[in-house]
Amino acid sequence: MMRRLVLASLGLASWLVSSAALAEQGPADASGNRPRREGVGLLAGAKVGGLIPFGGLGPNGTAGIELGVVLPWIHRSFALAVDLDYAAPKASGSETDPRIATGGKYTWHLTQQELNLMPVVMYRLTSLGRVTPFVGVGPRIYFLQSTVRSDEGLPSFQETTEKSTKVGFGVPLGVEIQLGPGGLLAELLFQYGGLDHTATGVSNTGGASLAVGYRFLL
Amino acid sequence: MPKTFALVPLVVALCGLLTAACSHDIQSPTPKGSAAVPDLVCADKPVSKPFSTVVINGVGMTPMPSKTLEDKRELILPKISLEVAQPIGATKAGATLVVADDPAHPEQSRVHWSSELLMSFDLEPADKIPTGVMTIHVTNPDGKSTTTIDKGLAVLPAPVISEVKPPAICDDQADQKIVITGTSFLVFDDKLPSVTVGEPPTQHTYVPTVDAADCTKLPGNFTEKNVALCTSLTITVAKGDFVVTTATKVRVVVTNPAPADCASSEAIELTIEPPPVVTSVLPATVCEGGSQLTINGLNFQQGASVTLDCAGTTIAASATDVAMDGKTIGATFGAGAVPGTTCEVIVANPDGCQDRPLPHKKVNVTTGPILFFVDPPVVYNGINTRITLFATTIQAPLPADAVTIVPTGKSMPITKLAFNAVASHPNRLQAIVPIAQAPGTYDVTLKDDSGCFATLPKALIVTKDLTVTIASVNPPFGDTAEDTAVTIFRDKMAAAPADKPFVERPRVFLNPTNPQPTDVAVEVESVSLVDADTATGVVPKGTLVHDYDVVLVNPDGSVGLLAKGYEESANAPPIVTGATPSSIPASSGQVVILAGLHFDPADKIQLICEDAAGKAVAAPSVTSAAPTCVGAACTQSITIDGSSLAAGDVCVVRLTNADGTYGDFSAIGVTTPSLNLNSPKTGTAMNVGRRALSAASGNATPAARFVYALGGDDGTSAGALDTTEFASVDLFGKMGPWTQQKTLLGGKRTLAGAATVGRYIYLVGGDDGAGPTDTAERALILSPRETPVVQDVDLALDKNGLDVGEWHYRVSAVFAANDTDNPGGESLPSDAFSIKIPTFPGKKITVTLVWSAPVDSLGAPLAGVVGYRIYRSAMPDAAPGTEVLVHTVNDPATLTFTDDGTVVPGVETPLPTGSTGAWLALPKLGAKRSGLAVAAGNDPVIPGKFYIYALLGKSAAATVNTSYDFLAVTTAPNGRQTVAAAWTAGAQQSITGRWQLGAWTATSAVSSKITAPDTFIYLGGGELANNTTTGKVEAGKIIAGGDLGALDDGPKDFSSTSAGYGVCAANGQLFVFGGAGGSPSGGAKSAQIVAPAPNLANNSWNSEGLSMTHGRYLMGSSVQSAFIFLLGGQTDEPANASKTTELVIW
Repeated sequence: MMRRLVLASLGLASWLVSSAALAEQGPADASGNRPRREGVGLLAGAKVGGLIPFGGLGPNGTAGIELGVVLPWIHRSFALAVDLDYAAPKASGSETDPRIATGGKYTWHLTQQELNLMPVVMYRLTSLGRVTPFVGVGPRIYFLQSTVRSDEGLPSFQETTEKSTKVGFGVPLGVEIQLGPGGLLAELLFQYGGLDHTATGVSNTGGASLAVGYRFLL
Repeated sequence: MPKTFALVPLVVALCGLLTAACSHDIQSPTPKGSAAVPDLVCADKPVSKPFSTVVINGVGMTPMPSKTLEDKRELILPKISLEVAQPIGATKAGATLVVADDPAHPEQSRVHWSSELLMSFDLEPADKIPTGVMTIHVTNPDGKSTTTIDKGLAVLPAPVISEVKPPAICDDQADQKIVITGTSFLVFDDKLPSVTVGEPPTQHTYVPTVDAADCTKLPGNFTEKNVALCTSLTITVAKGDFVVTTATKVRVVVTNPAPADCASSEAIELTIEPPPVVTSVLPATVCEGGSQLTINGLNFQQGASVTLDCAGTTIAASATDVAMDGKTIGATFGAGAVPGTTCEVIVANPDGCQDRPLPHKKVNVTTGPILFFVDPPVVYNGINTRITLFATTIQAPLPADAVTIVPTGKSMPITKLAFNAVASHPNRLQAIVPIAQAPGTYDVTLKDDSGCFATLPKALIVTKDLTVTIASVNPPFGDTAEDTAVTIFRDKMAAAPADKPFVERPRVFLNPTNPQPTDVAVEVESVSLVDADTATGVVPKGTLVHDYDVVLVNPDGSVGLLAKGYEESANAPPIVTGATPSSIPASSGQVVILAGLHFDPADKIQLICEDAAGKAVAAPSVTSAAPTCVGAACTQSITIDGSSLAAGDVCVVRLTNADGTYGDFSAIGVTTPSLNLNSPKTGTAMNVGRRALSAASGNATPAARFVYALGGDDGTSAGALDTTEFASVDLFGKMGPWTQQKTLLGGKRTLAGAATVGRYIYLVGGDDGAGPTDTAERALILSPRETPVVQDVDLALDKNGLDVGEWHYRVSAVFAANDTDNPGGESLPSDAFSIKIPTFPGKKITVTLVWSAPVDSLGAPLAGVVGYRIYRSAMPDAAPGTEVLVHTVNDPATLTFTDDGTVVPGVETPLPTGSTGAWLALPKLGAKRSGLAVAAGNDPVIPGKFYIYALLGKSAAATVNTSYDFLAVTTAPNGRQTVAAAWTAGAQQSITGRWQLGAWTATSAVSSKITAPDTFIYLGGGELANNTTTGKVEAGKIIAGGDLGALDDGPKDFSSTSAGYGVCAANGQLFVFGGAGGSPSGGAKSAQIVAPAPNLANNSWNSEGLSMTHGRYLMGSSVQSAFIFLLGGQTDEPANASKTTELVIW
């Protein structure tokens, strides 16, 4: 499944890059200042932050990258991008079970790895000068792996892994502050997706993450 | 880059995402199971715990937490499933059971997890786990990571008891073995099930023994060795383990060894019986020949046995009858107790316990009769059969129930038999076994005035099945004033199961048709087996005039019945003694003159015909004139329309008197219009090849007919033989096998001549191996009616005697060396006398036979008897007919023999029917005569006187005689023949001396051209002194005193020469067989006697146109009934001395 995931990501990135290469650049004015960009632009960025899951897992860090194009219309207010981020929230506990011959108790530990790919359509409010708020929406494709094992103490048992792919959605809210060729980025992402692994039971991948980063605009 | 190409990566990416979005996969560690402990468990509740638990050892048996993000979390344990590899009971092979485990309801789970190295599961009886050898599968929660323990567990059913044998025991006096049968008795290593009997506090536990043959090995990978399930266990209950005073039932439980220690749950019980108790025995005495006791007491079981222990000799009751309340036994004992002794009465229940307390009750033994045999021992219940009881003593007067029978081993029902005393035999009784008596084996009891009775167990067999089919009895009529010899034929075509053959020593009875209750079957005497299809016997004179069903009872119990098969008549039935001619052509208008006795003026004639293959053909029409009788002797002319017949057919003439009795004559042959004979048929082969033998024919009784081969040589006269043999012949010429006689000729003799008159065979002249001889001899065909008769038998108990079983005796008479009929020889043996020796514990029985001397046909004692020979079967229960010599009595006045069993049986056997007596040397001839012709003829004047003629022959190597001698013989009323002191030389000579010639005796019975009482002797051609052949034919007529007068050379000579040929005179013709040119030849020729006799027709000696089965020269020829027998000789097989025979009807 990982191979299919990588192939999908590379394909989408190639399409975005090739689209950016087609962007038309505006000529510089007499003073040497470049006029406000118009036309198609390329978007690329990276961000880190924290995730607070809503489905019972513990908070966890998150990191991601994005790649996209800025569309030429309405002063480049719309952009298409693909975000790829990763998080691994955890949970653990102990339970009683009469079938456990050694004391009737056991412990468990769950690691829920999530690799998410989210194509997103953004609206960027470019009329405010150096500050550009943005909002977006897009589907989130969750590549999930649950790993359960015993927690500390006896009885111990080995890991069992469970993998699946789910589809949810995400709504990013953020602001860019122009800096250099791009801008600093702060983004609050609300996301939601199904999670019904045997290991997890019926749950979800919903949560809110706050990340900061830098976004290039070319 | 074209825009079209820019879209390709986007399409690939979307496809990849969609595919990935549908996948779901779990991966657990791979487990590895090693063993189940224990590997033998019980599906039911073990005796040591509520249920069985099986531990599975291994690695990687990893549980999986689930629903961790839900409120109620669960733990998924590895799944345990059991696959039935080898079913036990009704389980199906291949069936799989998943051990119950629901993570949502862990408290109901049968699975337990201790670590990744150890799991377990419970087999609770309520789960009804299938039984069998199981393969265990452990599968981790991903559903694909699994491990297998192949045939690592046996789930066994609890043992099941189906039966305990015996169901009741008595352990009061001995250890008792009990066999427990059932299923699922587990054994392995040295472990066995345990068996508990009873309930505490008297419960006992036993370790059984097991027969490996009762066990089936369980295939599996078990820690234990030789794991098997068995179906039978044997335990030994020790003497005294259970002490009871009344019958007590105790439970029997089988418990398999741990860890599969389930116990049987069936309500199987063993009854512990107390020993019987005898309180009294009535009467206080028993008789030596048998007794009945009434035993009173307690705890007698059905099937209890009673024995008498008489000073160490044990006598078992032949029948016991135990009352239903178990308080009385009626016991019947056979003979064996010794008078004067005291016997303990011992009652033993089937469970083995004898009566207690000791001592046993006692009875005293007194004298009384002993019953030792019942004759016949097998009877048919379709008739009233008279049986004879033989006892040691019978004390009159007899009670009304003197003779009773009861099924063997039972005391009821008792059948009282009508009986009568036997005159002159005080130790015998005759009784009647009534018609319709139930078939089975019976004990016979005799009760006399002594108050005692004698019982012979298994003395009588009553049979009902008709498994032998009797075709006919011939003749089917008899004169009550005379003995009547009869032949009984079996229906060989009868279908099974009525196709049983006659067996050696059958008994034949004549049962009155439509019998009255008092009618009793008449036993046919002197019954002799010819073969499996034919038996002969004699109906005794005095048999009541009546129609009879014929019943034949084989010793093996098979029975045949011919309804209305015999009639005893007040008037003598007709007897047809001859038919002239006895051959007719197959054309109409054939006139035949019948001769015989007792023809009725209103008699009727019919012919019963069959073809050469033995298939019946339509009877020709016959018209007859009234018979002409002088006294009893009659002749009758009949005319046969033979146009419907064919050459080769044979017809038996049946003359039926007005009263329905008839007589048969065998037989009239059917020839071609030229009166030629039919082709001969092959006869049975002799035991010894013989050339230049003499042949003769004769009858032991009218029904027992034989042909004899006498002497001869092995191909040259130097190899002359002194042996003889004979074969039986029936009415239709069927020959039996040849039997070599034990009696030898007086010396070696070949190239002799023979003639038979009455029962005497005269053998004259010939060559003794050294050259021509002038000796002659004769022998008497022995009659089964002239034998000793066993009249009585006495028994005595002694330390020596015969063993238990059936024995057969026969007695023959021995004659003096100077006896003129059987010098130094012996008679045929008596009818067999069979006796069944019963068991006499500690004693044996000596048998004393009593017989009467043989008498002749007139009832006068035979002269010359000097002693007797006693033959007896060598072993008890040997087959009838296996008797051998055991003793010789050398005093004619001694008519008894006591057999104490100490004599060593010899090897000599009694003479078979058909045998002759010893050969008596006759006066010497007037000349040596080899290759002579011998004939016999009656004196024309003196009744009962006849002459034996010795004609021509060679007197030396190169000298032939022209002379002849004759010997006068006188026949007495009893049939005995006395010869003259010397031969008389014929008054005249032949004109041509010759040898290897033949001679014919022709009377009015042979040719109508001869007037009674004339008798002509014809002399045929032969060889001259130089051994060249001559066809000379001469004839002489017997004149008073025996001389032939002048030998008439008028009869036509042979048209072609012959020598060493066979002869027959019949149908007005003289026949010559073989010997053409003095060599083997297969043709025949004949001459017609024409008036005036002895003339022969001008066309005489024409070929008969037949072909013998072999060309023959120097054969033997003889006529028996309607058949010409040609025996041995030098043949074209080629054989210098052939064993072959053939016969042709004339």
